[in-house]
Amino acid sequence: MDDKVELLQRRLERERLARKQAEMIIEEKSRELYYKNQELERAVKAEHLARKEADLLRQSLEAFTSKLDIDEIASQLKSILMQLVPHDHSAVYLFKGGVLAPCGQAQGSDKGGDGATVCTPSLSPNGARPSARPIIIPNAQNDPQAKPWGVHPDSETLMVVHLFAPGRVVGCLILESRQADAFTPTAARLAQAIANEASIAFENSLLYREVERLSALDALTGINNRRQFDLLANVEFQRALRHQLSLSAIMMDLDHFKRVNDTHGHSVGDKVLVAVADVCRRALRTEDILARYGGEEFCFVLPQTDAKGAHAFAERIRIAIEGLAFDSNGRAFSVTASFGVSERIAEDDSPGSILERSDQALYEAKGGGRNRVVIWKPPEPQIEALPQAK
Amino acid sequence: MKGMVFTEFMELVDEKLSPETTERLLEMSDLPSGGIYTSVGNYDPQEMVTLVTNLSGMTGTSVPDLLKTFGRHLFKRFLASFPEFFEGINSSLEFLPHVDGYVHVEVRKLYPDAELPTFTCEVPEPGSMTMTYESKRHLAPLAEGLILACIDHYGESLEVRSETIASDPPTTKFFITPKQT
Repeated sequence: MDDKVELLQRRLERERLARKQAEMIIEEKSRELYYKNQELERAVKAEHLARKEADLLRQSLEAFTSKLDIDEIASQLKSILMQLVPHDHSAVYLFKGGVLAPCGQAQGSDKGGDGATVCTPSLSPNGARPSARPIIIPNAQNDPQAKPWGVHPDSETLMVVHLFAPGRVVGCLILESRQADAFTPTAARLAQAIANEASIAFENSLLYREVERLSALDALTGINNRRQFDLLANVEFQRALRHQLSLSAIMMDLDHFKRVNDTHGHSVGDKVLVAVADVCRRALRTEDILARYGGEEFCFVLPQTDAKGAHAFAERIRIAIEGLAFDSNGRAFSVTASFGVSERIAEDDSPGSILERSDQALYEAKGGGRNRVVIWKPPEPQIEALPQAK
Repeated sequence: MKGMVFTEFMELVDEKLSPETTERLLEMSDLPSGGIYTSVGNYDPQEMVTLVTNLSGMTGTSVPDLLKTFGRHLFKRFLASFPEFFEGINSSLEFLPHVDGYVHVEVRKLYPDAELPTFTCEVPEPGSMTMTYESKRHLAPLAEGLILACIDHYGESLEVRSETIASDPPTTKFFITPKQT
């Protein structure tokens, strides 16, 4: 019996110790699990944040590529930053003719895009060495670096993010915050990444505008090409039609231009065309339209001008062209031009019909001996010649 | 070695022999752990060798036979604790190939520090199987006990023959074939 009791006591003691041991192990394991869980929670949070940022970045990239208007891109940039980089005021500046000018619609708490804030702080299109990382100015109210940006009176921190195009700075983005430590390195990195996307969009927009401008111009003379002329002439024609205003068209052709090319070569011929285009351009009023119609042919549309006024206008140009002195290998020469003028009549339904009549008048001017201005006249009714009495 | 193996061993001795035998075994083994085992701890595998060897001396049953019995006992515990491993499986020849590829993978997830043996299964002809067991622990008879219990679980008429085919690392090949009648 005693043996049995002793055995049970021994077993009980061992069980007690084993339980203690197990409790310790379990406690240790659960502590480990707790820390591991916290670690996982942090990782999940970070992952979630990273995914959100990546999503917004992707969306912003898509949004930027679909836009070609500078102000729209600037507004888009601001709205994306509003979601991803907490701040109180923002402004986008782009270089225009060497100075930074604000762009993008002012929205809510944004810095106003008024002309007063146009300034050229340490940035210049090619002078300053831009840093790839944003500049964070913590004490915005007192730091002289922050002053040129016209800091809001309640802002504590300012961040300057550069907008780069390959090899140069195209502008910058200014973010302001009322909080002292608002812009963390992560926020700065993110702002730069978004700004880089916007920079590409800005650059594309500028290129697009340039292409658009170039596609409207004649490559040699820099005046409108025929395509652009047709567009502009139509606008003026419709306006004249609507308000019952006079409108004239002039067709102009250089006389014996083939001879100039044959005698002096095409490069001299080109110089003549450039000089003539220049004379024409200088004669224009703001609303007048000039274009190279093709070869040595030029055309004008003069709003609110009747045939008489257009004739006087053409005559001035004719005299100016006649007065141009050219030189080719020591041989002086000059050129002349013929003009056909016509004004809008009630039957016209497009600028084409006026131009057609001007062309007929031009033909007449050529036939009449060149270097002259002829106004179109309706053809006289043909009277059949009576047989002469013998 | 996982504490569960030790606690199960104690339980087996309690059950098959008597609690007194367990106490005597622990007393005579004079183990570093004092025989205080919990299923959640880890203990020196040498203690298991000491316990089995001493039990063999006490009972006159050979060590391999003891291990085989222990293997059978462990299979029942295994079945009760991890029924998910047996889901959708209808025979031992279907289950055994799963041990290395699936069961051990899962076990390692639960116990990253577990030292597991490897099993390689081959089917020489339908209805038979060879299983090559490799372990530093010299516990081939325990594996055989597990295999036998598995066959019993599915109520099959199979027999197991074992052959040592290498000593370093210790490797045993089990031939599982239909029972000769």
